[in-house]
Amino acid sequence: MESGRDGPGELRAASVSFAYGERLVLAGVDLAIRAGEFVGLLGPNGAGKTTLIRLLGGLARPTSGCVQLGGVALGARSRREIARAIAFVPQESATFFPLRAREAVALGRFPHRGGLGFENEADRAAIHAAMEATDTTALADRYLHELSGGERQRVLLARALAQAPSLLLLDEPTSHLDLRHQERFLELIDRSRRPDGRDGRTVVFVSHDVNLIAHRASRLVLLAAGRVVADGPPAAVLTAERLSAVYETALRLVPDARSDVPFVFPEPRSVPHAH
Amino acid sequence: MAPQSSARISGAEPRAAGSGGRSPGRGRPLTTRGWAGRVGALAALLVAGFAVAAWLLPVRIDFADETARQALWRIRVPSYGMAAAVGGGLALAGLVFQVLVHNPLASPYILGISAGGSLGAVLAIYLGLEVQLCGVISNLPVFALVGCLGAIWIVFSLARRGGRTARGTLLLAGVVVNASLTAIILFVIYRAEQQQTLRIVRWLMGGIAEPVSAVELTTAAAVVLALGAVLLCAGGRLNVLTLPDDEAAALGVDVERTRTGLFLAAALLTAAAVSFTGPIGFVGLIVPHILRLLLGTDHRLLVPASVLGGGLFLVLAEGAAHTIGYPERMPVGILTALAGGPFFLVLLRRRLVGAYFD
Repeated sequence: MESGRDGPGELRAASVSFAYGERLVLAGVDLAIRAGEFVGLLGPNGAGKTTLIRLLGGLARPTSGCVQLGGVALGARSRREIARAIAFVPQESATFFPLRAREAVALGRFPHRGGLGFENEADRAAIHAAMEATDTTALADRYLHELSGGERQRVLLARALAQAPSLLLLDEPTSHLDLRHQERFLELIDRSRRPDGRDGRTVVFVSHDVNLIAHRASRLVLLAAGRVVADGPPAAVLTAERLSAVYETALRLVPDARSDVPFVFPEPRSVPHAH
Repeated sequence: MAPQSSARISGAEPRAAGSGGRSPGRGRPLTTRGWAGRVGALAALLVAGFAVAAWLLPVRIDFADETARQALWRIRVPSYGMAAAVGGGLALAGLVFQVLVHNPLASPYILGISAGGSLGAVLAIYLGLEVQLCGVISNLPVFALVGCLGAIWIVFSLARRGGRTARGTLLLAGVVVNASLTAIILFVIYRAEQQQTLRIVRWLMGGIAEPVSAVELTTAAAVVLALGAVLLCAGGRLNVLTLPDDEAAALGVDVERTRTGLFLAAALLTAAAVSFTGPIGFVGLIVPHILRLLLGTDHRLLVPASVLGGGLFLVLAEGAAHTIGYPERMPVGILTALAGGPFFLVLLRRRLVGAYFD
């Protein structure tokens, strides 16, 4: 790993630990995410995935170690500055006031505005583009709380895209969606990674669902008990022994005819095999 | 959250389904012109309401009459001016507190600030510390202000732990401080002489004291305008703060620092209002809700609208209270509580307010 020569879009966690009081959630995580990567962050419940992604986005400060963006510690940057580079999509959102989809997306322009914060042409263009890119233009005047789960997540993605970030952090954004809407959401992420003429946007995607993310990500990071246990191309990270040990469940891999990345399924225990 | 119905997934018709009909703000982006238009209209309404109240209430001023003209400038303009300043300050404080604690029931008084102010004033009356400076200006607001600041300090230090202010802790600390201070007030009333009790109870009702001096009016107006200007610049941040903390932070708001600043601004607004008039109820709760109903939920607009709308509301209420009580000056707090409660219930009942909080 080269040191101190990070590109502007490089996000690096250097021996990052995090504790809630006495309970250690992350123990010395090292991770360098290069610009343009699509990183799938996997691991069982309580492995520290959400904590890690919050640290990567500067939403929490590590107990020790540090997170750097382009070689500068997130702690040394203002929140506004970070928000221009890193956007965050949560698992679900709640609004305290009824908010229309367009208003929600417009909030994504907050880090770019000054003064009283009225939208200028650039803001309007960014909002429009983000809504087009996520198929939410038709929902503009609808209230968030009236939307379906899939629609709502797309609006949250549009809000994140309106921030025009170089990094997109997603914390299980599809966990409440059915298969169709999961696929659609991931397609939109894929599409948004290749904005015209620019380098691809970096994506860090936390997921419970190995199969959902393994075939999309360019790199998988497997987290267990607050440590990185495997990090690399999906085909290399996904082995039956490793996954079975991490998830403490017998798992088997089923090869995919169309790629070298296998599918992961639990090995049924009580059901007899029909040979 | 509304239950998800599969019928809505198509989402083809904007602004058609469900409660979309009530469409506050209509989801159109806020433009400078739209903002100026609405703020201008509210300002015009405030000026008109002020002029009408000062001219007609409680009795019509005859401009041919020299004494009546003097009464207009010396008594009515200052007292309605105070009503406008205090109403605007309370409505704005209520708006900010509702965002801060993410609770539609929050009012400027929920965090015990007014109870602190009341205790300050009540103790001053009980201990006979009240004096009239230069024969007109009472020193009671000073004691009330000290009480308010004391309560702010107690609530804030209780709620703050390790550099963080949790929403729930702040709310709980406020409610408990409010209850404790109210108990002390009751004890003081119990110990007080009959005449003092009358004076204390009168103060607790909340109302514009007559006469309002130029010093008092300018102080109140200056505080409301200054903090209003500060909060006007925070409108965008208030919008973001209606989201969960992590999302607000991810959108570029320093949540802790902003919340602390907003808390102090709203607390000082409340302190200023309560010090001059006592705790006038319901303005800070009801005006923000009515304005959200009319104008939508964009705080860049709601901040100035609260100052103007709250001012208009209390000017009209003061006019009505004065007319009802004439020739006495009935404390306007009685009227706002009396009319505000049922009015709010009607809004709730018709699901115009709070429907989205279920």
